[in-house]
Amino acid sequence: MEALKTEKEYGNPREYFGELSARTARIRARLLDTQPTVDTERALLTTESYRAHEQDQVVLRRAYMLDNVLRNMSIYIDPDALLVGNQASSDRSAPIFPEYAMDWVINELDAFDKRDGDRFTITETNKQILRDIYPYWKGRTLQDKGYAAFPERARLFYDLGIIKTEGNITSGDAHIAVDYGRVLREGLAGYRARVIEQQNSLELADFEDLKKSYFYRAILIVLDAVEAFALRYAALAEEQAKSAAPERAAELLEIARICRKVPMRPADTFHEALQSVWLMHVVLQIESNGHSLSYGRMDQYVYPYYKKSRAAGMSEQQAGELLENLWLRTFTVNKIRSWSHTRFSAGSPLYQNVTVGGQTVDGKDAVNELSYQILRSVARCHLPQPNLTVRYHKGLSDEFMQECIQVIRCGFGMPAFNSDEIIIPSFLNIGVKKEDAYNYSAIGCVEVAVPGKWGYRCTGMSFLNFPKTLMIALNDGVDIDSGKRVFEGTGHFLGMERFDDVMHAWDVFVREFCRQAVILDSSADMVLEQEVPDILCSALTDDCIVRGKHLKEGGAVYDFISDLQVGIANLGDSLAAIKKCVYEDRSVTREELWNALLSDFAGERGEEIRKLLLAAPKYGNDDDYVDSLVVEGYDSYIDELKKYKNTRYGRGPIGGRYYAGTSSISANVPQGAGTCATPDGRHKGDPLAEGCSPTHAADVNGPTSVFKSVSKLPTDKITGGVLLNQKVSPSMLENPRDRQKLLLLLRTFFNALKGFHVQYNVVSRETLLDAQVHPENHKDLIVRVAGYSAFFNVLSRQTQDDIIARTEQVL
Amino acid sequence: MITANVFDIKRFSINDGDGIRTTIFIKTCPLRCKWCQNPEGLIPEIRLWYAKNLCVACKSCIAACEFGALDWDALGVRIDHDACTRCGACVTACPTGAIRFDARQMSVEETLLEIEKDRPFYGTDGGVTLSGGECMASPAFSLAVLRECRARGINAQIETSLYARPEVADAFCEATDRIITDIKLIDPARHRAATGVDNAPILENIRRLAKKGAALLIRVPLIPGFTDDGENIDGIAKFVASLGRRDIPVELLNFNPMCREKYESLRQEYPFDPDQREIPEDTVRALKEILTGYGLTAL
Repeated sequence: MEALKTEKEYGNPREYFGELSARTARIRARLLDTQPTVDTERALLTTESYRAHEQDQVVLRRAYMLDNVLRNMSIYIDPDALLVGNQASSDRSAPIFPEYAMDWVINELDAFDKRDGDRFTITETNKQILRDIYPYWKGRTLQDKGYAAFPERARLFYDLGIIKTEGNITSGDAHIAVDYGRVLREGLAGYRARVIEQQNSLELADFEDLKKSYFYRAILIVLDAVEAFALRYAALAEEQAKSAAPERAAELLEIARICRKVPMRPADTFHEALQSVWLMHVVLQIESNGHSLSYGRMDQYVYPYYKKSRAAGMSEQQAGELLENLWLRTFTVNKIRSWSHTRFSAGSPLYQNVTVGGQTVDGKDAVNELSYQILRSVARCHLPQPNLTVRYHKGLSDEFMQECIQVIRCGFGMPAFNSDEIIIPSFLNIGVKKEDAYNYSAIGCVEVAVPGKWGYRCTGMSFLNFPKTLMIALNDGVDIDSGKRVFEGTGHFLGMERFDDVMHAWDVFVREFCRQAVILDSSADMVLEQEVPDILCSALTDDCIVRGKHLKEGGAVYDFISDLQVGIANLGDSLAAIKKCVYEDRSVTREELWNALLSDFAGERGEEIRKLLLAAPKYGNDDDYVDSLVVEGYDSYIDELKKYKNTRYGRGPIGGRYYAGTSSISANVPQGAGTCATPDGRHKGDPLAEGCSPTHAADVNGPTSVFKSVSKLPTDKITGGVLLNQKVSPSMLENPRDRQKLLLLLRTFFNALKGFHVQYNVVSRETLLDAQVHPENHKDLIVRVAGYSAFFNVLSRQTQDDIIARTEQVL
Repeated sequence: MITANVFDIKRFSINDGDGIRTTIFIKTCPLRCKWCQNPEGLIPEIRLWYAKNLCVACKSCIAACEFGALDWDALGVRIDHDACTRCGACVTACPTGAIRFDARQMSVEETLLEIEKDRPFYGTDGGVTLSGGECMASPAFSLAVLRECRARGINAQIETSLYARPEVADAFCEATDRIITDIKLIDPARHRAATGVDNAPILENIRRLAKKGAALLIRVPLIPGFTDDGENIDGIAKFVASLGRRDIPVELLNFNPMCREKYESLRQEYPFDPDQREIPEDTVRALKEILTGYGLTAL
């Protein structure tokens, strides 16, 4: 409490962290004024390379692709930047990755700039370029092969929107953090040496070794390509230095010196370390358009270089400015998704996560000076990227927590908290080694994995719509909207004499739907393995080089994945309302309820029924009546899921299995749009509840009750992430006394109740409403959508309304 | 079995004492402050309560009443509390919870179960606060809850008018970790006019408890036109300073216009202009300076 007494009060929380440096303020202003566009360079260079290498093994084809892009794409240096490396031909423009999917690109070409959210401009020339390459890709894209690979029955689930897996066959994987620390220590030259050593011991007469030989050749090609890429920047910087003002010329020459050194050789200074990390980070996002490529625990692996440079005279301001440069470069990366996929990931998020805090392997607090610097520099940049996560643990100091709360007050949804107290034991429990479990980081938003040792998609496989599943179960296996039968039912709700019959139907259906999701996942994984292996990303993940296998073949040390379950609160609330109103109070008959649901609560009696349903106990209020039904319903799914294996099972990694996850991103909105009225009183088309948060405005007992309800979930089995969003008004965090209470609340949630994750949207309802009317006045208004933050004004109206409707917790 | 009529239990209450607390609101109050925030807590009995915002105008409650205690007019359901027998038929009939009882009779054990729910959040600072109404008006229940809480290691505080017999006040003082009490008006005549009771027993209790070393927090509700004048605050400041206890802070609680709907539900006249808002910060700061002028800690 001592720190609080001396603390200066800031009316505007952003003043607490001070201003960006003059140069980074200019960069930021330019970036905010940039309208995202579609870029075709990578599409053209990829097409060219694929045509030339059709006969090659897929790993080589992929390597030649990256080689061609890195050697020939446009490069540039921002006039103010201290770090270099660009993903596309200009900042914030989104490259097209034709090998993953082209149909939607061509179909939506003329609509990109007319979107309701996530708008992209595109020139007529670029449209023509894409139309010209389209015929080549017909039948060759990941999506084409994925569709062809889906078994018929599973395809029905996909088409009806019960299971959503579009992102998995129209994009690369990512959802990974590689081991940048090792790149900083060894340089890529060290990787090259290890590959050559492996190559030398191959016996090509052995089929397994023959296969490995292509992979090793592919790695050497991409390592050379990365080196060439870095040297191109060095040459460009030297060229620009000739005509630059003396001060800038000196900076450019320093940039050139650094790019001639890293990432090929080990870094020595803080500046070198950040440049090395950034170049690798951007190249990985050129190699694949998979998102949630994360930095891992940057405050740990960059700290030695930070300490060394500080000792050598680097000021705190200089360090802060370099970090600001990194975050601004991070924000330049962009991604365009199909409109249908965009609705699941609103705000064109890249989920590039950076994690700070947590513990060292011996259980000590890992927070250092760099942890603070990262927090503060991210706060000063105030952008939706990177996605900042703090690893909470019991020993995290009040001082650091208060600093985190100051960042929360800035109102851009960061940081999120993930808790060591539940995650580390869960990891140990599934076979993760102690030194790895203590080194986990957040990936993307709420999900967690061990950087550099874990395969793709620790979460982010397919989405299963729970309320829709329940409605199909009650309708004897027939999808209500399409009238199509998807599964042999257990009988219709109208004939269910007892509540147990409802629970039985749910159990049978959710198990089958879980199985269908796994079939879709495996089909997607199979084509991803066959068509688009990532060579560089694999090389940077242990033990791909030792095993001679890329990530999709089972190269990673650990490989657990998770599907995403959407509408958990709606499921529990629906079960509770059915139990109470139909089977206990008998205030509504089965026929009445069924008719009300089909008619979306039409008529006077329909509205009356809806009120009765709404009055039934709701999840989020620490009420065992409903909370126990959430748990029981979810348990059926979790129990089924553990039977299944992913495509890497038995091929090398520890795991090869699934666990549950609730980071539904913004999927709750489109999946709700496609779901009829539900027994929790939700209207047809309204958004589902998000993550494991309660249904909008259903939590009326305050945050402690929400935490209590959430903590009843089997969190230790939902290692894919238990996402909890809370919204608070800025006024709540104005005085130190209330901030101290928030801190207490968080500590209790994590220490005593073993919560997994929580994040705060600190913005007033009035501000949001005003931003809908006057978007021009709120250009930098950032809100937490689900596991990530996005600019409010790029979101679709529906997602905006959804955010406004979320309960504002009154602290 | 010792019971009390509890009209609200508020979890995560952070304005009723230190830390994260659960506040228990107990019915009945000897005062009749014109600005009462919880008018439903004034009388001891449990009554019907009508929440118009939840009502769907189905009138099932009226149809269910065998005693003719309910009827319908422009303001919705009108309740004749004299005719009502509290049989609960209307409450069962109401589909939305618009008609309900305004309180629940709870035993000490039931109350403790509710308190235990947020136990993990209390830590060392947080805990339970008994409020009202007036918790000292239900001494057997209140003292049993407070004593049991402390026996279980839960910090126990009360919010009270201290309008009670000295021996009752002393008993509560023994059973609590802190007493939060109001001085609404220092002038006896004004106090009587605004609250219906004399302030002498209140001030006497404060004086005696202060001398015993009790942990006290004194609050002054700033009610426009009633308590927010400099003269009143100056008088209160002088009184608190005379206690010789510099560790007793004085908190000025700004007017809260949120209770208007309750008066509508009760069909009682709301004693303020409907547009009356909080007292401006500048005014509050000036009043705080009066307190600090006497060397007091103003919150």
